[in-house]
Amino acid sequence: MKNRMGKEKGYDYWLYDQDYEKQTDFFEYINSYLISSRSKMNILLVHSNDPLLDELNEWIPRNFDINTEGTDEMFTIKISKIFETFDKSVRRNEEVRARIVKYNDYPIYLIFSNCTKSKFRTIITTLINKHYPRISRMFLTNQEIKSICNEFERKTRNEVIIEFSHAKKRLFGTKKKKISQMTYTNEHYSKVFEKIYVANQWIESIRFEARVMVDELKKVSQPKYLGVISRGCFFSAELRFAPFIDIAIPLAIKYGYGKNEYLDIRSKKAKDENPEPIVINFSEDIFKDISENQNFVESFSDLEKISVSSYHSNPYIHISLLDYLDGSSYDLWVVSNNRLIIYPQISASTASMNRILNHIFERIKEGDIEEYKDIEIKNWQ
Amino acid sequence: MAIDEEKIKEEIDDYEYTLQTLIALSGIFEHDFSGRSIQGLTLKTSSKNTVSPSTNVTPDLVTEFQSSELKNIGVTTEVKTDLPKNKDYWEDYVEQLKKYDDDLSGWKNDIKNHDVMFISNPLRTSDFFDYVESGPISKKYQFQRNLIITDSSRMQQSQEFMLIKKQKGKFSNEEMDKLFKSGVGVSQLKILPKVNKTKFYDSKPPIIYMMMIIWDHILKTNLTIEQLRDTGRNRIIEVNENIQDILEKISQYAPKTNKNCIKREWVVEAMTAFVDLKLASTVIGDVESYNIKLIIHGGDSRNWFISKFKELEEKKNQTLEKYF
Repeated sequence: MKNRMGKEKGYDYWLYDQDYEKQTDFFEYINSYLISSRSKMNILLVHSNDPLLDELNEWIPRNFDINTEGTDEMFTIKISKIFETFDKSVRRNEEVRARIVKYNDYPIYLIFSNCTKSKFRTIITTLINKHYPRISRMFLTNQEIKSICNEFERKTRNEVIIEFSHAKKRLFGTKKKKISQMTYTNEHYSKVFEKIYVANQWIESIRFEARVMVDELKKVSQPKYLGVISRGCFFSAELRFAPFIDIAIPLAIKYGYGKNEYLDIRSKKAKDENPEPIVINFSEDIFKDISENQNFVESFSDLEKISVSSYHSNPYIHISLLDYLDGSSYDLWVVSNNRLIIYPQISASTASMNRILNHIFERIKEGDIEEYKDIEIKNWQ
Repeated sequence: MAIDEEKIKEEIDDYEYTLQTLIALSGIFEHDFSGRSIQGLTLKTSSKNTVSPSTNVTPDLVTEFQSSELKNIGVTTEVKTDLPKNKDYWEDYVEQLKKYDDDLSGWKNDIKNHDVMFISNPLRTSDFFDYVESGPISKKYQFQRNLIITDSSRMQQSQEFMLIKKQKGKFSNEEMDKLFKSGVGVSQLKILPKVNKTKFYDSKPPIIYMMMIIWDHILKTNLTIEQLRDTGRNRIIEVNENIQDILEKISQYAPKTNKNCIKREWVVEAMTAFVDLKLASTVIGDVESYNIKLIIHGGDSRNWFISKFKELEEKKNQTLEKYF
C-alpha cells in the first residue's frame, strides 16, 4: 500500500483513478489515506432502487455536468456545477470528484469525496437531491445516532466524547417552528443525548472524538478516530476509517434503509385496492391535548413544496398532503392519542414518504413505525 | 348570502361524518348480524305508497340479512347528521322516510319485512322523534313499519370512537334492538382502511371538498417525472385533464357497492369552479378538457380555495349561489 501512495501519483489518484479489484481494497486504502494524510473523508449514503450510474447519466440537471467512469458496483464521478447569481450576471464553475460504491446487495450507495464539506453539500448533495424521487435520502433519528455512538464505544473500547452538536428545537404554536442551536459540549455522548431529549430537540449532526481512557483520573489519549455523523446519513471520517465502515455505516444502513424498506412496500402498494398505511406509534399520548391539534396541522406548513388540506382538526385530525416535487399524496389521520396513520393516495414515492416521516420525527416527536395489522384496536368500553 | 367560512367547514365535516357513520353501521350489521349493506341500491315503491307510488328510491344504506334468526329481514337507513335546527324543514325528511315505509321491491334477496332507520346527531334526534309523533305529522304520516331514530356521535377515549345508539323506536329483531339500545362503539382506527378508500356516498359533496380531492389526489396522476424536473424553481405546474379521466380516477373513491355514485356533474361543477377561480382554463375546441395551473402554495388548500372564492365574490360583487 505504501508504494501505491507514491508522491508521483498523489492521493487523488488512489481515491478516484485506481482500479480496485474489491471494494474492501478501496476501504482499506481510505483507512491508510486518513492515517497518513490527516485529511477527512466525506461519505453520503443514498438509496436508489435503479442503478445509480444509469440514473445519474440519464438526466443531468441544469447547471450541472457529470462524467462517470466505472460500473454501477464502483464508479468515479466528476461533477461540475455552475454557480450563478440570482440575476445570472456572475457565473463561476466548481468541480469535485467522488467515488461511488454500491454497498453489498443493498440498493444503497456510498458516495466518497475528500472535497470540502461545503463543496460536498453544494455540489454532490445538491445533485443527489435534484434526482428526487428516483434517489432517496435516508435519515437517522436521535436514538439511532445515539446507538451508533454506543456501538463505537462497545466495539472499539474508546470513549465517545461529543465535541459539539447541531440540534434544532421543536416550537409549537409560534410562527417560527424551530430554533437552531450549536452547542459545544465536550461531554460524553450519553449526557449530550439526555440534554437533547429534555430540551425537545432533534439532532442535525454531531462531531465526536473517540479516545482511550488512560488512567483512573479519567485522563484520555489523543483521539483514535473522530468525525461527524449527521441525521441525513452524511459522515465525515478522520484519522481512521475502519470504525466507520465496520460499525457506523452498517448501522446507518440498518436504520436508514430499514425505514426506507418499510416505506418502499407502502409505495409499491399505493395503487392497490387496499393500500398499506404508514403507522407511527409514539411512546407518549402526544395527541391527548386536542388544543394542540391546530399546531400539529400547521407544523406541516414549512415542509418545502407540500400543501395541506384540512378536512377535520378537532377532536380527531384528518388532513391531506400533496408533495409538488413528485406528485405523491397522502391522507393523514390521528384517531388515537399516540398514533398517526398515513395512507398513500394512488401514488407516493419512497423518497417523498421518507421526507414526510423525517419531518414528523423532527417537528412532532420521534416514534416507532409499525404495521397496521399489529395495532391493538380497543373495543368499546 | 356572503360566503360563510365556518359553514363550509361544517359542511365538509358533516359530509365526512355521514360517510363514516355509513361505514361504521355497515360494519356493525356485518360483524354482529352477518348482514350485507349496499350503498346506492335503488328500490322501487309500490303503487300503494302514500307519498310517492311506483317510483325509485335510494336510501343511503340498504341492509339485507340472511342468517336464520334474521332471515328475510332488511333495514333501510337514511343518515342526516346535519339535520337543521329549524323544524320547518323537517317534514321533508319525514316524507323521505315515509317513502321507505312500503313493500319495496328491488332487494337483492327475498326480503319480506324491513325496518326504517334514521340517523342524526344527538342534539336533534329526540326532538325529531317527538316531531314525528306529534299530532298533525303522525296523522299525516302513519308509519306501518318500525321507525328507529338513532344517534351517531363522536366519543373520545384513548382512541376515537363513533357511538351509534338508538334513541327511539324498536327493531324487529330483539338482539339488534338490545344492542343499539345500549349503543355500539366503533373504533375509528378499525374502520380507517374503509374510510380511507371511500370519500363519497350517494349525495353531492360540498364543492370545496370535491375540489380538494381533485387537487390533491387526481391532478397529480397526470404529472410525469420529466415535467416535474423541468418545472425547476417555478411555482406553477401545468396539467391537462378531461372530465371523463377525472371521473374514472375519482371513482376509485366511491363505495365498493356503489361505484357509479360520483356524478359527472359534480366533476363538471368542480372544474368550472377552477376556471372561475382562474386556476384552470378550458381547451379551445375541446369543452371536456381543461388546462389546470397546479400552483404550489404552501398553505391549507381548503382555506386557500375559500379565500379565492371570497375574492371572486368581492370582484363580481354578487353572491356565488351556484356553488354555495
